[in-house]
Amino acid sequence: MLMDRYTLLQKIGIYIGIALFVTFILLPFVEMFRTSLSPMSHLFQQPYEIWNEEFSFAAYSAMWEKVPLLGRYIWNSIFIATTVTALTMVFVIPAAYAYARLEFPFKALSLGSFLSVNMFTGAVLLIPPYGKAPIFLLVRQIKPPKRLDLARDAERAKAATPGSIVRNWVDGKMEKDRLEQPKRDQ
Amino acid sequence: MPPFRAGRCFPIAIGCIGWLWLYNGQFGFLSGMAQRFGIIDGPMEFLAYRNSAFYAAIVTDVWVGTAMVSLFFLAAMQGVSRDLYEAAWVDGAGRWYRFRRITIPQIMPVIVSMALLSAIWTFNSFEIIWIFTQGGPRGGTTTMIIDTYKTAIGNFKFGEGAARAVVIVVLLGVFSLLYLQVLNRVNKFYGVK
Repeated sequence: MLMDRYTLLQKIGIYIGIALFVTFILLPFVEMFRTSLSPMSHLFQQPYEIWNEEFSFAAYSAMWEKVPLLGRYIWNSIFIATTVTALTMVFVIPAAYAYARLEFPFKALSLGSFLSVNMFTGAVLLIPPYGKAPIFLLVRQIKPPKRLDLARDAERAKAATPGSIVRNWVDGKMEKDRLEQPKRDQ
Repeated sequence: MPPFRAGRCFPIAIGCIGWLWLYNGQFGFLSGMAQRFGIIDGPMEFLAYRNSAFYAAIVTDVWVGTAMVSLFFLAAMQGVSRDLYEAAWVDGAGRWYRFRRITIPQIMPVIVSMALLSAIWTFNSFEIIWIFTQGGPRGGTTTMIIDTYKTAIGNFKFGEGAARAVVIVVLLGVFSLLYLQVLNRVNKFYGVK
């Protein structure tokens, strides 16, 4: 179309812009793909190599062998994505229609409340259930932080000292007896 | 598939790990290439210094946001009627004039929404900094949200963490109100309802 004609210089500018944009967007993806092809030994190697003859697709076949439930995990992802999308659409489309086409009280205020949902990040939303429920029952992998309490540690060490002296003495004595036993039997 | 759509297909956490790998001083692409082209002498650990770690997090945040915002803008721009451009072109309007007087006003509601959401998302951006530096080095990249998480989840001070979260919401609420006030004026200027 006549309206869309560009000069050569403009075209060069556009393509340079596109190239920079594409590089920026795809760089982590390309690096991830390159990493997936390289053997473990090459990952921690200097100087940096973009390509090597030992690169292979072995990791892609290995993951099917090492993770027996991989198919299940993929299916779970697909199932969650599909269900969430479908349910979201069921709620969102009528809501969007209502806000776009209907007039009702507190329309602006309730629309603003949608925005407030975004003001809480997921990390912060973890706080209320953790605060109220016994956290260690809910999330077993979380362990209480190790607090530095030098007085308590010193007290424990002091309390353990006599026991360890006696234990070492007994252990040493028993070991000595055990070694001497065959001699006495002879 | 346009590249920014491919970018959106990438989970944020995995994308961050990809960037983490790129920033790695010993084995990473950026440091490796910079050394190969003689820009730097030895390995450069981007995430080990306060300033570079901060800028690295910003670049990655831009990367995360670009894909989403581009998609919204693409949809908005595709929705602008071609007739408007043709009519303006027939009237002798140049490319820049058409962009200023047709494209921008037509997509202004999307610009408003996306700018506000992007600001809120970035303010609350957690994964990137947490994966990169966990707020380090020496608090150089600790944002309000990282501090909230560390306090509430890391140190089990739920009350203090929740207080920080409320402060974040208040801050963002005030920011949103001010932003919407300014944008009402901008919208009036462009004649957008």
